[in-house]
Amino acid sequence: MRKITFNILVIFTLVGLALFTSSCTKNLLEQQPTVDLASSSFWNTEADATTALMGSYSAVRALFDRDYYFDGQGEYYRTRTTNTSSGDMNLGAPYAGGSWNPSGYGGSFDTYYSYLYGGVNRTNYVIENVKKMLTTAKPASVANLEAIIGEARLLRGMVYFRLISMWGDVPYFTKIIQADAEVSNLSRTPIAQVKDSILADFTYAYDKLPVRAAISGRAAKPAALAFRGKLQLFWACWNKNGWPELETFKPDAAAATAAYTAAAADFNAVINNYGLKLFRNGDPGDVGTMGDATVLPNYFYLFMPIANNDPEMIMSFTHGSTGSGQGEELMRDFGSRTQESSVNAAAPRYEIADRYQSTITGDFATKLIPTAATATGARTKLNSALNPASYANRDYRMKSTIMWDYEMNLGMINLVSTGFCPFIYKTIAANVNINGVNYISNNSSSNSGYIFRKFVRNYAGQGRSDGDYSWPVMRLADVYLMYAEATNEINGPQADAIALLNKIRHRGNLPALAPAKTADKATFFSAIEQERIVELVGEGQRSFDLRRWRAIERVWCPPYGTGVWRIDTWGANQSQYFLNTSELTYQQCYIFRIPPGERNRNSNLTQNKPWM
Amino acid sequence: MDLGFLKNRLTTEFDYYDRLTTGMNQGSSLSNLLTGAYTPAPRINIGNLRNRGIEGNVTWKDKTGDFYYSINVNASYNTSQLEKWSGYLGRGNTFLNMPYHFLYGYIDQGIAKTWQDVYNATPQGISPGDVILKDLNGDGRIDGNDQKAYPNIQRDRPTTNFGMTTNLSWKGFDLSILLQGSAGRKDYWLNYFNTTNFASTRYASSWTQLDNPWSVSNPNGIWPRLGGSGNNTTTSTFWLDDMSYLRLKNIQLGYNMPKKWLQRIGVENVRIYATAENLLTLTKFRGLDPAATGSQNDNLYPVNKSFSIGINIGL
Repeated sequence: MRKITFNILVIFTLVGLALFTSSCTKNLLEQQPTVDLASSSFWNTEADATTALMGSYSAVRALFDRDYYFDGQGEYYRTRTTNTSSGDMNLGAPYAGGSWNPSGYGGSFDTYYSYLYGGVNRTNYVIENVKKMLTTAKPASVANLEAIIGEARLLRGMVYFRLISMWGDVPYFTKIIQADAEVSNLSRTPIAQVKDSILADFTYAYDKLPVRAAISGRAAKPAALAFRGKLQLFWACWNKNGWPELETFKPDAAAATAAYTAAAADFNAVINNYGLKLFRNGDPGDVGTMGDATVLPNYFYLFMPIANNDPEMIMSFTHGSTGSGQGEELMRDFGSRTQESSVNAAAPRYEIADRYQSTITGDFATKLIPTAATATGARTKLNSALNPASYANRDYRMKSTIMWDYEMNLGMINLVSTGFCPFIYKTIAANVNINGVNYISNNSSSNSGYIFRKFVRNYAGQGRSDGDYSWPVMRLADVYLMYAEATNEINGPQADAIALLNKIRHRGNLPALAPAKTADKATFFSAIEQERIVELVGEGQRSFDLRRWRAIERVWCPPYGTGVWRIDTWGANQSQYFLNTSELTYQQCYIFRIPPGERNRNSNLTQNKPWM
Repeated sequence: MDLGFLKNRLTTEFDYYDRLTTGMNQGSSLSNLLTGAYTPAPRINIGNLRNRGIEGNVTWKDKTGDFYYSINVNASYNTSQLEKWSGYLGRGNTFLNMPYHFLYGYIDQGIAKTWQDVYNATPQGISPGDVILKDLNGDGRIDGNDQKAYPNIQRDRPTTNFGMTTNLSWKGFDLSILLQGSAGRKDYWLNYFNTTNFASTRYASSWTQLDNPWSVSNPNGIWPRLGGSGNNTTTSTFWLDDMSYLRLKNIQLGYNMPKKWLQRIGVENVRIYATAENLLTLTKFRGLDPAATGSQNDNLYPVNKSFSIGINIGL
C-alpha cells in the first residue's frame, strides 16, 4: 500500500513538472509559423523587396485603374452602371458603392476612402521594411533597394494625392500599424502639411528611380517628376481658385504663382529631358472610310495593348490576360453585348460630339441637329445627327473614341470574331442591310445615340474580363496640357506651350491653333480645356479638373438655375442636372464626405463643412 | 426538476438555466484606415453574453372507458444580455446591458397627406405620400440618432416558444392536434414584395403595390407613395409588426379497422387517416411567415398548407 502511494506521488510530481515547465514557455502564443513564411524570414534579399513592392503595385493599381468611372461626374461621359464586385481588389472593389452622376456623389466614397488607406498601409509596409534592410545591406544592393523605396514612395504619394484632392485634410501616417489603437484617434493633418509630405515622397522617388524602367509597368524618373508637377498644379489651382468648402485652407495668390512655376519646371523637365514622344510620333495615322473600321487612326491604338510600355505612357498599371485573374475590364465596361457580352457601362454623352473640331477649319464644326429617325430625311439632311456624313472631316479622335449610327466595330463571341457589326441607336441586335450586305447591329445600351470605341478591342481572343491593357495614370499628352496650363497661368500663352497643343491636335489631324485661339490667357485656357476634354475623355480626369478649376457652375448652371439637359441624337431629353439646385449641393461636389462611421469611432476626426 | 402527480397522470418537468458565454470570438472592429489592407480583421475574444431562461413541460394522461387522452404543453422563455464588449460598439442593435440584436429603429408619424403635413414635420426631404419620421432627439433633423432602442424586444428570435400536443383516441378512432407558437419578437415587414421603391426593370410588381400606395387619386392609401423618399423603406414603426403567432401545425384523424374484419381477408391491420399541415396561423404579422427569421427576402414563399389522406396496410 505504501509503495502504491509512493508511486502515485511520483507520477503526480512528474506530470506536474511536465505541465508547469511547459506552460512557463515565454510568448507561447507568439511563435513563428510553421506553414507560412514568417516576416522575420522575409526581407533578406533584393528579390524579397521586389516581391513586396509588386504587392504594393497590385494594391495601388486597384485604386486607379477604374478611374474612368469618375468621368461620369463630368458632362461628356455617362457612367451607366459599374462592374465592381465588393471585396475583390482586382474587380473594382475600391470603386464599389460610388455615385458617378454629375451631382450628389460626394457622400458615396467611404469604401474608396478605406481602400485608399489600404494602399497607404501596403506601401508603408514596403517602405519601412526596406529601409530597415538598408541599414545592413551590402553597398552593391543599396541603389536597387533605394529605387524600390522610391517606387513605393511614389505610389504612396499618388494615394495621398488622391485623398487630399477629394477630402482636403486627411489623416496622415507613414508607420507600419501594429494595432488599431495607433490610428483610431488620429485627427486630420492639414492639407498643406500632407502636400509637403507627398512632395517629399515624389522628390525622393525622382532622386532614386532609374531614367527608364527596366520592366514594363514600373515607374521611372519621368513618372515621379510628372506627379510632382501635377500635385503642384493642383496646389496652385486650390490657391488661385480657393477651396471654401475646406475651412482650414486659406488660399494664397503668391503660393499659387510659386506652385504654377514649380509645376511648369517639372513638366518641362519631363517633356525635354528624357526624349519622350507621343505614341507613333504623334502622327494621326489613317482615318479609314466612314462606316468602316478595318482602318482606324493611331489615337485608337493608343488605348489598345499595342501601346503598353510606349514612352507616352509615363506611368501605367499593367494587367494580366486570360487566366491571370489580373485582367482589366475595359471592354466589359466600354463595349456592347456584341463584344463578348460586354455591358456599355460607360457611354459617351451626346454633347461630346460637337466638341470634335473640323479637320478643315481647325475650329468647331456646325452644331449637329438632333433628329428623330422617324423624321423625313433624318439620315440625309445636312448636319443631322443621324446623317453619317455630318461626322466627316472631324478630328480623328472622334472616330477613335465614339461610334455614331452606321459605324462598325467587331463582334466577338466565345473568343471568336463574328465579323463587323454596325451600331445604330435604338436598333438593337437586328438584321440590317447595308449596301446589299446583311449585318447584325450592335446589341447596345445607350441613351445618347453614341457608344464608345475607345478601349474596345478590335480583335477577338480575349474575354471581357481578360484585358491586358496597361491603364495609364500619367500620359505625355496630359503632361503637355498641364505644362500649357501652368505656363499660361503665369505668363499667358507661350510659344512652346502652343506648339505642344498643336502636337496633340496633330494627332487628330487638326490644323494648328488659329492665332485668335491663343490671343490671351482666357482664350488659350479654353483651347487647353477643349483639348483636355477630347484627348482625355474616359480617363478619369474631367471631374477632378472641374473641381480644381471650380468650374461646375460654369459648365452646368449657377445655383437655383434652370438645370441642364443631356439629350440624345434624336433630340429627346434624357437627364436633367442641377435644376433648382442649392449651393449646398454644389459644395458637396467640391469636397467629399469624411466617412461618418469612422467619425462615430473617432471623436478627433472632423467633418467637412458641407457634410456637417 | 421532474415531478409526477396523481399516479403519474400528471407529469411535469421544469428547468431553469443561467448561462454566461465568456470570450465570444469575433472579428475585431478596425478603423477604416486599416480595413482596406487588413481584411478580414483579426478575431479576438470580444464579449460576454448571458442567457437566462426557463423551460417547462407538462403532460396529463388519462383514460375513461374506451377514451384515452393525453395533453402535453411545453413552453420556454429566454432572455439574453450582453454584459461585456471589449471592442468598439457603434450605434446599432448590439449594445451593453441589452439583449443581443434588440429592436432598433425609427418611429413614424404616419403618411404625410398634404404639403401642410410636410411643413409641420421636421424637415426630412419628403413630399406628400411619404412616411414622416419622428425627430426623437429633437435636434431639428432626422438622422441615425433618431432611432429608438427597445430593451425588451428582440428582432432575431422570440423570447417565448410554446407548443401543445393533444392525442385522443376512442375505439378505432384517433385524433392528434399539434399547436405551436411563439411570442416576444417584433420585426419590420420590409421585403421585395411590398417595397414601394422597386426597380423600374427586372421587377414584377403586384396589384397590392398599385392599389395600396398613397397617390393623388388614392389619398387614403395605406402604403406610402411609389418611388418616394427613403423614409418609406427604412426600418420605422410604420412597418413594425408583432411576430407572435399561434399555428395549427398538424392535425390528424385516423381510424383503425377492427381486427375481426381483417382476419377474413388475411390482413394484419388497416389504418385510414387524413392529415392537414399548417391549417391555420393566427398572427398580426402582415407578411408571409411569422416564424421565419433572417432576411425576409430569403423567405419569399408562403408556408404551404398541405392535406393528405392515406391508408396503411400491414400484411
